[in-house]
Amino acid sequence: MIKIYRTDLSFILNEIADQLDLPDSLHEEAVERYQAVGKWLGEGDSPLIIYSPVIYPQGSFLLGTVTKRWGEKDEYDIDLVFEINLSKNATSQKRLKKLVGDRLKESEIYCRMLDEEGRRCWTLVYANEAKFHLDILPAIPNTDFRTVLKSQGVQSSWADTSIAITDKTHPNYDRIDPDWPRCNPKGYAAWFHSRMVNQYEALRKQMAEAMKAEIQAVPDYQIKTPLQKSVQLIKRHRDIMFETKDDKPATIVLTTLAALAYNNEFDLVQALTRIVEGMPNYITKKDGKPWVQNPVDPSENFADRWQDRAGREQDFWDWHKKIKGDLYALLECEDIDRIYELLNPMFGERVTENAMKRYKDHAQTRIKSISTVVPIRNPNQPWGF
Amino acid sequence: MDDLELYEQFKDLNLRFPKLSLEKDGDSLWSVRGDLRFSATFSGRQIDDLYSIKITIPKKYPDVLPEVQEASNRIPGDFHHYQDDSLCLGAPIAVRYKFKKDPTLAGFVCNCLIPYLYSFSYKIRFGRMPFGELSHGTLGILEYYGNLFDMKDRRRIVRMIQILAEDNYREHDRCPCGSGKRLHACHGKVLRELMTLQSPVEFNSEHNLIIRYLVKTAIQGPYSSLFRRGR
Repeated sequence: MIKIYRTDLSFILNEIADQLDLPDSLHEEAVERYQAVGKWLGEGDSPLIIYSPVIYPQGSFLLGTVTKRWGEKDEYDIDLVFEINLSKNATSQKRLKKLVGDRLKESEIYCRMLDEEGRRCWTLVYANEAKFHLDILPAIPNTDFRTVLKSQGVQSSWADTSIAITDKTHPNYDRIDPDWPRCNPKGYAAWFHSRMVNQYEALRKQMAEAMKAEIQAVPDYQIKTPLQKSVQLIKRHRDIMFETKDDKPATIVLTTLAALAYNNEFDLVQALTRIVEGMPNYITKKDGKPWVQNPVDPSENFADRWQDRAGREQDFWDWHKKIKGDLYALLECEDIDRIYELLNPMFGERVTENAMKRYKDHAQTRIKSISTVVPIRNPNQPWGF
Repeated sequence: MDDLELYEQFKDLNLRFPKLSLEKDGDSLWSVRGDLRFSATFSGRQIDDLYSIKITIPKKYPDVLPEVQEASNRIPGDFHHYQDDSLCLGAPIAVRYKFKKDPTLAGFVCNCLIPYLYSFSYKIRFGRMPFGELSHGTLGILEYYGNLFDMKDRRRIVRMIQILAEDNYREHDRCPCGSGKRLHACHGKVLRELMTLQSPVEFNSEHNLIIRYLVKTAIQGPYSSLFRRGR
């Protein structure tokens, strides 16, 4: 049974998600920036050119679930993979990390922007009005593991993008060894997309019609499905709840559970309700431990880190209880001023205020044309058999 | 209409009538349900009222019009209902004609449904129908066309419908209304509008119903003389 109501709330939540998102102009700027970095790393006189390097986005930028950082003014994290065609037999993790770091340091611009070396990444901080943090993850193809994934039933188009990455804390960090940390951002994004493909295509068609353009002319990043928006809302809600803590439920866990619980809803309130209610159903147990399976790497447990510190699992459940309660209070509230008071602590004052303003403008322009009292003109006379 | 388009229409409706919801149970049709609270005016008289309704959206909407049921059981069955219990908002062609002006859910509710509910509320309160009503059955359809064409002579009304039934509109033909003008300068506009609402087959069945009705009543009725000519 589908029941769509509270489309006023859907409108407001849609607006909030839009506010949290990377604006189109910044999206284009971010693409330009990372392509420039890719060029510096892998073209011209770069020593890495011989390894046919590629740079591509991963994480929320690739999933279309970028969420403005809470607190700071308009800061965005853009996660990138810099993949070069080297074999695990030919390099150590440390050497790969250093190859990339050294090339960045050779540049006058990037040298100054380079943050302290991260565990897995190199980070570039852009200090302009729009603050990007570009996290560059050095990687090589994880060729032998792709076969393993396929034998575990992962479809080959998802398995074929598995990569090996570096980690300073890994026991094999500075020696040549087949055992590398691994991940698969492209495969994960393809899986995530498959969870929302119906609504994605429908929205794309709708946008193309509105723009009077070909379907292919609609840029991917301009399409935002209710799943993507729900993930943005969920992330922001978590960021606010855990703002004073060092640790918070991981984005990858929330994103995966949300995508699993999403069932093709086209209304945001429906989608968010379904997701919040359904998320716990996808946390399984394996050997007595909570398990959130990586859908493109069955032996990886995204909830692994819940074992590292007591209280991590409880953090998730506390958060889940909170968002569920907040959402139900919203659904029951019909007074628009009270809705503002409820949304404010959930998503932050600035975004909520803007969203409420947009809603009021929208309602006014839509209703103004026909006054709230229906004037009856030339009515039909009732008839019957 | 795909789900997303229907949803867009519903959002506009919901903005004005927040107590309505868009629902679907499994493979059944979409329906709009809930309390329709409205204020409406006709000739300076405002009525505020509330009805619980269910609007069923057919698969072929908006080519096929929604059906409305009243769930609060305020409107008795003998007040303009179809046999299947749905509300009879007007002669079928009349509702289509009205709907065409704003073919959206909000348009349907404001232009077709609310006037009907208004007239029931009005009748309960003031004891009469605010904008009259059509006779039941075929006579009502004939009356509707008469009002639409602003004509009284039934023979002429029938000839007008015949043009539609035979799909034989020629703008230089004389208008059957008796004005002496050509069709394009007379009832052509309304005929052309009607042609977009129904197929000739549908007009033909209405035409046949009306003829049969007239023949039947002619035997006893005041128009008997019209149908005895030529025999």
